[in-house]
Amino acid sequence: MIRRGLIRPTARPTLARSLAWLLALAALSSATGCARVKPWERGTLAKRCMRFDADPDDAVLEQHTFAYREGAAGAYGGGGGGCGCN
Amino acid sequence: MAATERTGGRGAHVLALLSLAVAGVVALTAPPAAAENRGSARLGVYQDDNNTLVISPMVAVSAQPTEGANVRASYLADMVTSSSVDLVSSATKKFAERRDDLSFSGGYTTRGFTTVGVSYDYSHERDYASHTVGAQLAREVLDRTLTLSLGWATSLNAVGRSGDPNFSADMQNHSLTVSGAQVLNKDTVLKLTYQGQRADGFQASVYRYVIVDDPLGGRLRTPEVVPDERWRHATVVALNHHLVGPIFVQGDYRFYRDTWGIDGHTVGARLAWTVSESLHLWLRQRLHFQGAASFYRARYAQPQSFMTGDKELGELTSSTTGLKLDYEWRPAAGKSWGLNSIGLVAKVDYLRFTYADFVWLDGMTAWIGELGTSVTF
Repeated sequence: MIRRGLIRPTARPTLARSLAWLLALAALSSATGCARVKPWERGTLAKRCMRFDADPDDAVLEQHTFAYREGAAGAYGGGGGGCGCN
Repeated sequence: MAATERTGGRGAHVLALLSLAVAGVVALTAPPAAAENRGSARLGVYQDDNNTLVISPMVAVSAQPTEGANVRASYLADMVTSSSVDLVSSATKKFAERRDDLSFSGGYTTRGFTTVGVSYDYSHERDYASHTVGAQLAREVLDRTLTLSLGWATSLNAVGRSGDPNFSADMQNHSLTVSGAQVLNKDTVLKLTYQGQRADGFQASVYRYVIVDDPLGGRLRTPEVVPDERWRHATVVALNHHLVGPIFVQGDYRFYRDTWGIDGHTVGARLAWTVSESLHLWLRQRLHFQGAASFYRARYAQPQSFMTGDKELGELTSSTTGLKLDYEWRPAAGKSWGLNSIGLVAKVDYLRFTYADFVWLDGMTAWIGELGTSVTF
């Protein structure tokens, strides 16, 4: 089976770096007093325009569109089915 | 053997049944309470100037059978007709085909603000079939201002070749997603996501050919060959912010890298205007740049271990400009006829792709139109 011929060995360093960034930013955001927003101050946060998953149907169609037309797409979340790009 | 007959084998069916069983148990064992159910339908149409038309109808239903529980089922079809230069270059003049995709998911949120979920997805087309199972775990901490999530998914894919019953190949894909969404203040939320994916197996297109210079003169066409293994890493930073009055802004940046040598950068910005409680207007701009895979060539001077002329694996930029209208009508109390709301959505996107080093095309323009409706009851 043909494997790895021209592939750059980037997997482990990238994974470690990305996780380190994620943890560092999470720690930073937690340390800046973010938890002080009281429940009664969260009216704006509950609005639809503030949600990351405001339109899941649209997200499904859009991610499928870009996964097919950009080689660097995908990896947005979930597994997905066949890409229809065979 | 057709792709549908051998997709993933017994393992895929066991995983699918297990996933559905867990979703059912999760939904049925939670305590009963008032619930909101939802049905929705979407129709997406993609048309580009490379002679490709994709019509994608989608329907979905979701329900909250008991307090904290939710289940969802959806069906999506892609009906594709194409005679693009990619196909002409691979000696196929035109094709029309359909992909069907069924998804099921279920989740349960405890009073301790922990959410568990499972999902199953089945996708089928004439020459490709896929089973995907997934699981998610999320927990709200720090007085519910920080949401941490962990997700996993595995897909088992069977690759076929139209008109060649003897061709058969498999591909597995595993992904792990870690994210954290933090409330920064009463007007701002930040979300960080990392996703790693490992694909192992046949990942080339069975219909795509590359151009190799013939030492005796002229050109040869030979099937593309890509590595069997691919690791993909994506990190996304997203920020939602209430700017002023009815105006909200959303921004995100995504960095992508894979072991085929592709680096990608994607920047997105959305402006949301709450025209009224019922009507929202969204404007968006998305820019994407990616480098080429290390083995990509527009044409090859001599054969190599790995060869592809797939424009999606070459250097490209894309720009997406879009407008979306979202209307939700809520009937007055006493006149609801069992309905909580009726929603309508309309969207149009203009896309421009530019290819730095592709033999058949310098660029491509596309339009995406979408219409949808939803009902909650």
